[in-house]
Amino acid sequence: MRVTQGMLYLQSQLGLARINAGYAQASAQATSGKRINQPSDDASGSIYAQYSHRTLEDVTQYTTNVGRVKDWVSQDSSTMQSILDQITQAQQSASLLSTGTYTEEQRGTLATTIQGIMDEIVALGNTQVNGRYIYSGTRTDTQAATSQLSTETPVTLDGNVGGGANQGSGRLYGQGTYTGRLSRNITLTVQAGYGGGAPSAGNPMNVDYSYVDDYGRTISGTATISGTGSGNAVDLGDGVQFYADAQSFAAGDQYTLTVGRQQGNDQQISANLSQDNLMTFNHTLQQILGQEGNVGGSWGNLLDQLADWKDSLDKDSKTQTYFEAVPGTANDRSSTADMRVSGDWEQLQSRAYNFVTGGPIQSSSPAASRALFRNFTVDAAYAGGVPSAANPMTIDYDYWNGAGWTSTTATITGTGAAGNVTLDPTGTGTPALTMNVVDAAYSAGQALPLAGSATAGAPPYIASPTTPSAGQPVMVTYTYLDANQVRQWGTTTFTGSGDGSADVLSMNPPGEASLRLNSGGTLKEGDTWDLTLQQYNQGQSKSQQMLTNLAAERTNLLRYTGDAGAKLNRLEIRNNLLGDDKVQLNSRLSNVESADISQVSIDLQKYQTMFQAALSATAMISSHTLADYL
Amino acid sequence: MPGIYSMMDISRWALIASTRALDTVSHNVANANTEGYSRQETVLSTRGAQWTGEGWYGNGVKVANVIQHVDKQLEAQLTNSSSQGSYYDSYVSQLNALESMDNEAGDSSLGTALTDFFNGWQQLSLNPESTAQRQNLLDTTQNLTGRLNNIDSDLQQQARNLDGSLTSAVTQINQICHNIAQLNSQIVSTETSGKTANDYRDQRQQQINNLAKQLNISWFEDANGAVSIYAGGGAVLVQGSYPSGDDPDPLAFKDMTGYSDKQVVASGTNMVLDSTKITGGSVGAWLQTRDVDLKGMQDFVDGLSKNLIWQVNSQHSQGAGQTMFTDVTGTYKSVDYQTALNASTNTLPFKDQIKNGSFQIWVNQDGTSRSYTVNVDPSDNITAITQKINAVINPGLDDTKNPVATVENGQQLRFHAAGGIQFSFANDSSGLLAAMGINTFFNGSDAGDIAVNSQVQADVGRIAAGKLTASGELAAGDNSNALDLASLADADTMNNGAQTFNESVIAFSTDLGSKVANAKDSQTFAANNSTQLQSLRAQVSGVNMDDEMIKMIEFQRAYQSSAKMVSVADEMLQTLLDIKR
Repeated sequence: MRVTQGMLYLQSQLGLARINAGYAQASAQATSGKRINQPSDDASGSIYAQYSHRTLEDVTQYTTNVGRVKDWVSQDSSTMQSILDQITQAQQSASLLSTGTYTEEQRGTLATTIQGIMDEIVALGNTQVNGRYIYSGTRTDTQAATSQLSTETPVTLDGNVGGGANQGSGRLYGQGTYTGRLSRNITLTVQAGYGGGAPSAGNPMNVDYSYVDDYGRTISGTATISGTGSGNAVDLGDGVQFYADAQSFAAGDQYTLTVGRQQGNDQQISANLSQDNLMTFNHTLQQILGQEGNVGGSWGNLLDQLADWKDSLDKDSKTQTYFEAVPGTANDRSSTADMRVSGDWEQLQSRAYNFVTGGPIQSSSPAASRALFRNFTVDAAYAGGVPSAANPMTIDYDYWNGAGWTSTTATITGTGAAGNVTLDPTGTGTPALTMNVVDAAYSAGQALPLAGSATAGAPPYIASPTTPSAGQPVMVTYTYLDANQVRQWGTTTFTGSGDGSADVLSMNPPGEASLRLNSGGTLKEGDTWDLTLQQYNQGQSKSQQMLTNLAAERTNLLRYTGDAGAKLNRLEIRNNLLGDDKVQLNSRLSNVESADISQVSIDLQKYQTMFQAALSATAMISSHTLADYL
Repeated sequence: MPGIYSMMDISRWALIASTRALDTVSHNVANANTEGYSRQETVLSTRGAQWTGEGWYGNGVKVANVIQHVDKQLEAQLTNSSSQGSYYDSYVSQLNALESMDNEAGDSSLGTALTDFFNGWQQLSLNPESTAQRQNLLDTTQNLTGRLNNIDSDLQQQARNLDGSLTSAVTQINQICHNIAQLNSQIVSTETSGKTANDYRDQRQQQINNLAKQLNISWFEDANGAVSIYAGGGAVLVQGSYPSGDDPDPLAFKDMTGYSDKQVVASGTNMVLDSTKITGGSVGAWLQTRDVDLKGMQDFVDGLSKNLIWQVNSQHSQGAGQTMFTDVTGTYKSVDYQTALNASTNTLPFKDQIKNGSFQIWVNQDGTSRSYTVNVDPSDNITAITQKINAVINPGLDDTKNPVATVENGQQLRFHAAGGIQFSFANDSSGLLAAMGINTFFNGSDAGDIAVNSQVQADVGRIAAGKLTASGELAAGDNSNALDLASLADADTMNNGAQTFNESVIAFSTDLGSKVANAKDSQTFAANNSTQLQSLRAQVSGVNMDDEMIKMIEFQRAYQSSAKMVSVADEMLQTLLDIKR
C-alpha cells in the first residue's frame, strides 16, 4: 500500500478530534457533576431523569402543603383543647350552682364568670393561623364569631314549598339591631295567592314568618312588604327587619333569615397532600359549638346555652331594680316597649300582673268606628265579679245615630277575645264596634275607658307603635290577682318613658308595685305583656340543665378533637412518606443523572495522556522524510 | 544515422527528459499540501528508432505525457461523502441549537417552569387571601410565559439565521457552478490536443467537492471531458459551458406561492427543491431543520401554549377573584360584529371551544347580589350575544347602572356597569367567557404571545382562586378554583387527551434528544467514512515525499549520466580531431 504524508495527517486529525470530543464530554461531566447535561446525552435516561425531577418538584410542593395544613390542624386541635378547658370550667360552676348550696345572690354574681367563659370561647373561635380565621369556613377573612348577635343578609334561599328551587328571582335581606338574647332562624314564606313580580304599594306581598323567640314561644304572623329596598323594611320583632329587592317573587318561595353570632359559613377547605389525595382540614364553628337557632325545641349552640344560663343567673337576684314583663306573642312586631315592674319579686309573682295597651275595653275596630261610641259604664245593676255566661254583665253606652247620641246597653258574657261582642245598636252596621273587656272582675258603676272613643277625657287611640309623651299619652290597663286570687284591673297612663320620677307610675294594690317603660319604647293599642313567665330565679334549674348540655357539648367537641388528632396522624404519616419519596427520588436521580466523579477524573486523565501521546506521534511522523538525509 | 552526433543528440533528449521529470517532481513536492491536488508523473518513452541496414537504432528518450494519478470512482464517492459529512455537520449544529433552546436536562427547563406554575396554584390554595401569594403566582407565571416567549423568539431567530445561511449558500452554489462551467470549457479546449489538463481537472474536482458540501449532487463526465452536474429532482446545475456569461443562475432562493417560507428554486423549471429533494450538504441540513425540526418544535410549543391557555382560562373563568368587575373588555377578538363565532371565517382563536351552554353573571349593587343566566349558542355573533345578555339582565334593578354588554371595536365583548355596580361570573358551561377573554388568566394564543391577562397583571385580586357559592358569595378563604387549576397539572389534556403537559414536554424533549444523538452518530460515521475515502484517495493521488526524493535522485543521476554521455561524445570527437594533427 502506498502511504502518503496526507494520509498520516488525516489519521492524526481524526484521532485528535476523537480524543478532543471525549475530553470535552468528560470535562462537561466533571464541571456540571451530571452525566446527562442535555437529553441527547442519554435520551432514555433523560426521560427517567425528567420524570423524577418533575415528581421531586411536586413532592416538594406536597411537603409544603402538608406542612401548612399541619400548622392549621395543630392550632385547631389545641384551640379545641382550650375550649374543652373552658367547658370544664363551666361544668364546675354548673355543678356548684345546681346543688342549691349557693344563694340566689351568689348565683347572680357568678353570671360574670359565665360571661368570661363566653368571651373566651368567642375569642378562641376567632383563632387565626397565618392571618386566617380557622373556624369561619371559607370566610377566612371574617371573624368566626362576634360577641353580639347580628342579622344575616342576604337571607338563605330554601326553595319553594311546592318543591324545587325558589321560583322567583327575588331575594330578601335582613337588617336592624337585634335586641334578643339567643340566636334564631326566621322562616319567611311568600303567602299563597301572591300574584308574582316585585312587591309594591299596588302589589303588596304578604310574607308569613315564623320563629321561636327567646322564651321558646313560636311566634308566627304575616308581614306585608309593599315596596322594595331597605326603605320599605318590615319588622319581625326584637329589632330584626327584612326587605325585598326589586325582583320577582313567587307564592310559596321560602327563605331563612338567621340571627346569630357565627359569621363564617359551613364550607370545607381542602388541600392536596399528594396527587389525587385531597384532604378537607377545617372545622367550622357550627361543627364544634353546635348549630345556631332553636332546633327541635331547644338551643344546641354552646354560646346560646351559656348566654341563656348567664341571663338566668343575672335575673336570679331578688333585688332587681325592676322585672320585665314578657311581650305577648300577638304584639305588633315593631313595638319595642318593655313593661318594667318594680317591687318585691315574691309578691309580684303572686300578683301575676298582665298588661294591655288601651282601656279595659279592647277593640279591633278602627278609629272611625270607635269615635261613634262613648261613655261605657258597668250597669248599676251588675252584681260584680268576672263576667261570664253565668254572670252576664250589662254595660251602658252611647252611640252616634247620625244626628245625636243615643243611650243603650250591651251584655258581656266573657272576657278577653273569647268574650268578643259586636255592638250594632241600629242593626244597620253603622255604627258598629267589635269589643271585649279585659279578664278581670268589674263592679257596678265603673267607667270603662275605650281608647279613641268619644268619651270626654278618653285616652287617644294608638294605631301604630308610639313612644308615650305629654302630647301623646298612652293608657295601659293592668290586671293582677288580689288576696282572694280574683283578678282585678286598673289603668295607668304614660306621658313619657324611662326612669324619670314622673314616668314611674304606681299601680294597685297601693304601695306594692310601680310600672315604667324602657326609654323610647314604643307600643300600640292591644299590645300585651305578661309578668308570669318563668324567667326570674331559674338559676339553679338552669344550672342543672347546663350540666347535661355541657356534657353533650364536651362529647361533640371530643369528636372533633379526635378528628383533628386523626388528621394530624395522617399528615405526619404523609409527611414521612413524602420525605421517603424525596430520598428515593434523589437517589434514583443520582443513579441516572450524576456523573461518577472518580470515573470522570480517570477519564480526564486518560484523555489527557492520549492527547499528549497523539500529539507527539503526529510531531514524530512529520519530522522524518528522506529529505532530511540528503 | 548512428554516430557521435547521434549520441550527443540522444543525450540532449535525455537531459531534456530528466529536467522535465525533475520539474514534475518539484511540482509534486510543491503541491504536496495543496487540497485536491493529484500526484502527477512524467511519462517517458523512447523516441522513434532509426532504420539502417544493420537494423533499428534507438533514438533516445522523450517526454510522452504528464499524467495524474486519479481514481475517478473514488472521486465520485468522495463527493457523496462530502455531501453526507457536511449535511451531518450542519444538522448536528442546528439540532444542538434547538436542543439548547429548551434544555430539559438543565435547571431552567420548560418542565420546571410548568411544574412551578401549577405548584404556584397549590401554594395559592394554601393561602388564597394573601396578596403576596397571588403576586408570587404572577411571578411564577411570568417565568413560564417568558420561557415560552423566549423559545418562540429563539426559534424565529434561528429560522431567520437559516434563511440567511440559505441565501448565501445559494449564491455560493451559483458561483461554483459558474466556475465549474468555465473550467469545463478550459478542459475541453485544452484536451483537444490529446493531453490531459491535469491542474484544471484538479481545480474542477475541488469545485465539485465544494459544491457537494453545499448540497447533494449527481455528476458525470462526458467524452469531451466536460462534467454535467444535477441537484436532487434532476435540476441542472452545470451542463457543458452552462452557466457562463449572462446565463441565468441555476438556483434561486425566493418566495414561492403556496409556501410560507422562501424556497430554493431551480431557475429553469421553477421547481421547488425542498428538504425531500435536497437531502445532503449544508443546504439539505438547513432545509430539513427549518422545514421539519424547527417547525415541529414551533408547532409543539405553540400547541402546548394554546392548550395551556385554554385549559387554564376555561377553568379560571369559572371562578371569582377578590376583586369584582366594573368594566371588562374581552381580550380575544372576533373577526367582526356580525360573523357567527364558530364560523370557519372567524379568526377568534378559541372559537371551536364555544359550545351550547350558559353562564351566570352575578350583579352586586348596594349590598344585594343577583344572578342572571345567559344562554349561549356558538353560532351566535357577538352582537347577538350582547343582545341576549342585555335582555336577560332585568332592567328593573336600575337601567342606567346595570352591567351592560356592548361590542367593543366591532370585535370584542365588553361588560360595563356604572354607579357602584360590580359583577362577577360563574358556571360557564358554554366556554364563551374563556373564548372571549373575560375573567381569564392568560392572554394570547401561542408561544409567541402567551402572557398574563393585563387585568390580572394590574390587580392580583382578579386571580380567581375561589368560586362563588350558590348564593353568589365569594368567601376569601375559598380555594376551590385554585385546587382545580392546580389539578390541571395531572390532567391528560395534551396530544388528544393522552398526556399531561409535563409528559408532553418530556416526550418532545427526549424525542429531540434522540434525534440529536442519532445525528451525532451519523456525523461520526460520515466523518469516519470521509476520512477513509480521503485516505484511499491519498493512497492513489497523494504525494509521498520519500517517493519524490527518490525520483529526484533518480532523475538527477540520469541528468548527470546524460551530461557525462555528452562529455564522452565530446571526448570521442576530440580523439577524432586529434587524429588529423
